[in-house]
Amino acid sequence: MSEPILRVEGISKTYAPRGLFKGAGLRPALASASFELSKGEILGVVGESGSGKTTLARCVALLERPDAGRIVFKGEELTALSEGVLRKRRRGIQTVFQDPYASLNPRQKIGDVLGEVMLVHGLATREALRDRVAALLDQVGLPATAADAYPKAFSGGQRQRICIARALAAQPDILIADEPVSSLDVSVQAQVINLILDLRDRLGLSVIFIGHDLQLIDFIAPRVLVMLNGEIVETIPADGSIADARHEYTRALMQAVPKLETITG
Amino acid sequence: MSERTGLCIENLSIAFDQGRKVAVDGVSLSVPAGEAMGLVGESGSGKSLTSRAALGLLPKNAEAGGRILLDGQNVLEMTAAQLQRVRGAGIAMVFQDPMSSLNPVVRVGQSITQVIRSHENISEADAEKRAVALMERVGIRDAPARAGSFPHEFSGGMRQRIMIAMALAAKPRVLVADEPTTALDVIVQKNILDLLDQLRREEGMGLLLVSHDLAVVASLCSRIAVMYAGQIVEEGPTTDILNRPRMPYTAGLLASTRRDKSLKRLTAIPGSPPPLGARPESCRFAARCPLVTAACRAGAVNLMEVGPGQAARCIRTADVPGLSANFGRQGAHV
Amino acid sequence: MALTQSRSTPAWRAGGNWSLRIGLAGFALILLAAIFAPFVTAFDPTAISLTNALQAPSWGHLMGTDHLGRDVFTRVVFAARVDLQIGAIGVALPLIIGTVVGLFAGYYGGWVDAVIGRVVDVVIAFPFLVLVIAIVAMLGPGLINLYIALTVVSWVLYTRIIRAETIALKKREYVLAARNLGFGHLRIMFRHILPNAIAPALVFAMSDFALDVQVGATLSFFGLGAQPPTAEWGLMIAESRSMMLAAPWVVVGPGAAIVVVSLVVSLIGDGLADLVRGLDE
Repeated sequence: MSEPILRVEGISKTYAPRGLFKGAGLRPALASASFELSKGEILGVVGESGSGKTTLARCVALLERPDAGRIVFKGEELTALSEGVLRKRRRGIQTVFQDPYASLNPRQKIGDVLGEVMLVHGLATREALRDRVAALLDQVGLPATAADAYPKAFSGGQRQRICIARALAAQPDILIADEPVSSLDVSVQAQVINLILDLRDRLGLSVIFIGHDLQLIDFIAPRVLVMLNGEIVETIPADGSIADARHEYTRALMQAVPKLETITG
Repeated sequence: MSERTGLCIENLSIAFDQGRKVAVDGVSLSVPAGEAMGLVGESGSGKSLTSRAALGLLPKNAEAGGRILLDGQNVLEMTAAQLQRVRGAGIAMVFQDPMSSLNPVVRVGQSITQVIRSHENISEADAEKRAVALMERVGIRDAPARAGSFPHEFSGGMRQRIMIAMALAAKPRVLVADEPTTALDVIVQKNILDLLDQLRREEGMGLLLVSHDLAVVASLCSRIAVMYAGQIVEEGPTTDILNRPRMPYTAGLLASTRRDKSLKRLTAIPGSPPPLGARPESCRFAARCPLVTAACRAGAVNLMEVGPGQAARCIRTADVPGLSANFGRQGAHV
Repeated sequence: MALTQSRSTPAWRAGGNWSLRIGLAGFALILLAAIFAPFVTAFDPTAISLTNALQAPSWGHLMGTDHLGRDVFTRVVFAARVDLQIGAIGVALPLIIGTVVGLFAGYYGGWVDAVIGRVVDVVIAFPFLVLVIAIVAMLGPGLINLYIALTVVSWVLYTRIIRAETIALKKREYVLAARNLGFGHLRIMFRHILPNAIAPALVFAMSDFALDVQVGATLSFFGLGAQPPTAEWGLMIAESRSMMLAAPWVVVGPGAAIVVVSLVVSLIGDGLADLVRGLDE
């Protein structure tokens, strides 16, 4: 395999406690996490609330600075960069967040949401902007007319498509999808997941897909990290199966999910 | 249907804006004592309004039609005082978010005691003993000590157990659980579902389990009703619905839960549910349905008997089995 | 794919936002009267005519005349120019300064917030009116100094509002997304946070407007604001207060004007609050 596009080496994060009893019983939100990501790979991360999976996402996107460890992206150590230099590199790693209702500025039209990204980074000229916006919207399955509407005109699933388009506008190498369908209607979830899979195929994106549904993550991602209490407790390799999971927590997770197959027989 | 015991909802309609926005449209379902009924639907399908109506908990600006019979009495016609008596002892509810349902400055034991004493004329000391027993019943260890704790001192799963204990305090004949595990992690979810199942069997309660998650509902309920855009679109025994869905929406939901790695993609339903103001008079799933014909858009479709105890709101029920192939890859490029 | 269109009619029209409609109509009427004052009335606001002193209201003098024979209605209309200006400038300067300071405090947090927070606490600790009077007394009477005093005293209120909104909004996913996209701090603050944080400050500005008009009138009453012979409502009441019992109309006119302007602006504030709630639904 070629040089990975992202190398995460032992990153840790502990949030400073607030209130009176500082320092009492501090547990790191993320403890020495390491993994690599190749170009075009989908890496799954599964864990429950408090497992540190969202902290991991924020740290990899450098939205939080890890307390320790290194993040090397395309051969450059992001964790060593100053805030000013880092800002120019940020567009390479984009995030799609869980709540599509809080992810879009309610006072910005969709065309401006997408256009702003390209203008700030000089990825499109003002003249070509409308066409570029329309192309992005088309890429996520929305009509060009969506550009003139405000976020409140869209359903949750449509908003999540817009958020994906906004991430694509930055022409990233890596897309972090942090529980991207957990807030969506059940009948819409599969559309958004398929869209992410299609984009990976078409654009060669590397994807870190984070979720709590082990079976879903296993379907999407060949390689899966299982997180518990801020630690990666198990890595299910690309040629392995969750059925062979060794860690007792992974097995407990698998057994806890209600399965339709066992009822239909 | 004329079941005397349990909950029986007949042709319930709930509208807003002087009848312009019909959120729940002609819903009928029954929860006999000792049985578990599942109500599945997405956000906006009307499932939560339906379950709240059963407790007389409707928003002030809602107008309700039809009947909700609790042991033969119509909840919709009850006075505030009658409702007060019936809530708790007749029917009780467990909500999604236990933290906002519990008073944060009252010790949990006290909360349960208050419910007991508001329905029964017993002494404080006896009520407290009962509260501790209830906490033990719902699986809270070291209950006598934990009764003195405040809600924030419990984990999400433990808080939901306390909510269940409160719901059980007045010995209801029907328990309504509206997304009781949606805010919880999967392992905790499993424990709460097991607890609800155990309580239903041992207490002989009727259980109405409301959820967006078909698998959650199927794991607990012998019958399922599926709601879409304000209507029940399919109802029947759980095994029949899962093995042989007769409404394309149900079939699509089932197909979308399939994790077949050889397909490389999930099986998606295209489009999204119609919002409240834009629901057609005809079949409400028509815009997303792979089997749609002109006849589907011609007029209202009624629930039709399609098998023993199974009904579907579809004029093409015969073509639904084997449908899943049609819910192919369209989802990605709507 | 069809967009799920929400109502296209603006919330204030669909919901029948009468507070806002009446408030705006009333304010427009007062504003127009102030701008076109010379066309609204035939009299000169400062022309003295001792032979006409203290006449009761009549068709010739709608609100009567004062002790110098000036038409009270004319002076009330011309005074609106001064008083609306006091309200407008007294709100605009603190709103702008307070908003920018609040944005920085809320966005950066840490020591920036701590320093700003202490300054705000100190200013708020003083009684509002006492501090305004003290500053004007120190700088000397006059409208310019009144504006300075109002700004010094009330920017902190806007800072508090905007700071609290900013702290809540900066945790929102769309602000995180903006950082993730490599946008600069100023862009994030002014394009992504400010438009969503400003609404409560604007609603508050309306009640502040009414308050400023009243403070302006109060200071003029004490001789610290507008100076004679300028027509200004507070000053008119001050000049005429000895005649109040004999000729009540001399204070009724300017007094009513203060009440009406306060009412109209409060209506706009209520209406704006409803409008903002409607937009965010």
